[in-house]
Amino acid sequence: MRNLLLLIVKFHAFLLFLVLEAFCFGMIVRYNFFQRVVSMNSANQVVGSMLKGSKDVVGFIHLKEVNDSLMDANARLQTQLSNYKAEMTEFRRPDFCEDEEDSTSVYIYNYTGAKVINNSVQKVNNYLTIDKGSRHGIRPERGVIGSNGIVGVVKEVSPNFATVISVLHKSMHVSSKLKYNNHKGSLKWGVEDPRYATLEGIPKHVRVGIGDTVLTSGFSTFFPSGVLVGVVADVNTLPQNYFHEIKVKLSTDFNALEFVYVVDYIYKSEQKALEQRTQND
Amino acid sequence: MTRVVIVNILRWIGIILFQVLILNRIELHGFIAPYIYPLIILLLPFETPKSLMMGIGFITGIAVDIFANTPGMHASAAVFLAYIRTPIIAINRPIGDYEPNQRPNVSSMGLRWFVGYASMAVVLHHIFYFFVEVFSLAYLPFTLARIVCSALVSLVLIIIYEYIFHSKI
Repeated sequence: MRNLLLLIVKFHAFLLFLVLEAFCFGMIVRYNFFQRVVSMNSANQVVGSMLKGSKDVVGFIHLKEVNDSLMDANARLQTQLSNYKAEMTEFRRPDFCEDEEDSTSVYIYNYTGAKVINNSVQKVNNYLTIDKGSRHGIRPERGVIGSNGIVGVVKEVSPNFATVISVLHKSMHVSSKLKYNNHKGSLKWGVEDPRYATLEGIPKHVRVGIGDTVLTSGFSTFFPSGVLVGVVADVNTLPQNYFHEIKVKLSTDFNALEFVYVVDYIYKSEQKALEQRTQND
Repeated sequence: MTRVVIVNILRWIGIILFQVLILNRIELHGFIAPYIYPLIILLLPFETPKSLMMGIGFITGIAVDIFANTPGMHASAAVFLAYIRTPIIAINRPIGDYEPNQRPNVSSMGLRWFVGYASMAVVLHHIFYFFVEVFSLAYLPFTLARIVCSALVSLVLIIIYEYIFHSKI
């Protein structure tokens, strides 16, 4: 026993080293668990407000670019709105139809605007922090889109802040489709370059051209169908593969993100529950 | 003694704020991600006990982690650096050994000694950190490029810091 104690005293530094490293790696591996317990992330109130303060200063410098991009987004929305108005008049309900108008059938997606206060693109797993949280109705697993296209999925929320898993994350898959023929595939980031991602699962017989638009498929409950993902930058077809290797230039510039919208799909839980029940049978 | 503690605490706060509010935002081509916080551990007095050093390393790493959303990654790298600081100091022993009252900085030990000491520490720290971050050997050339580029920039920043705060000129 005495010898054991002496041994511990002699190697106490090495033992402490092992204990601390084990603790750290525990945190790395059990990221979710630890985050929930201690809320040790930038959704934490103190850290969030500090990051917000520093972002306010940086934000001021970029005001002009932000204005420009907001104006673009506004213009696009205006066009869409007028298109929808036109469609609505085309399909006006006949006057003899008397039942109450179902308002939910029109608004199935809710959008909440938020400001990006922390962001990274150079890591292997990138996250963003936004300045809206559960108080503003944001909950985990909601899709996040920017004015130019998809951004990511909400991971953790605190009352005033939320963290978002960026599309630039090793384990992020986005269900996508080619615009002109609706072929579905899965978009995945290739770690090296924050501007490009890979679209997998498009079979070789489908013709894909450089410059084709890639949109979200709407199969996942995170994003509505038809949100811009990017354009095809390069197609590589190897004889031994059944699928194309498609390089997609992401339409979102992750380096310059300032404002994003959190998408809330109203029937999310209903759809999930139904799909769950189907799989259980 | 009290003065040494206060100076180290102030330096800790200053370097952490600089790291998380400014350096963490620097993203050049996905390759360069400079880390200046190893300097906190490098500048602790020679006679700091090993376990205290690892404790400081752990707190430093956790502080950076909380801001960067990488729980455990910087902490493990900082603890690793604190553990290997003693051997690094031993390897860089100047002719005629260390003298009492010497501090591990440029003004006390000279630029040549400091560059050897800091580059060895920064390179080992970056190797550890970037491999922990990728957590695989799959992207080896990419990871190695990141290590080399980031370590160079970190080292330059550390030496600039030394020239601002510890230079005799």
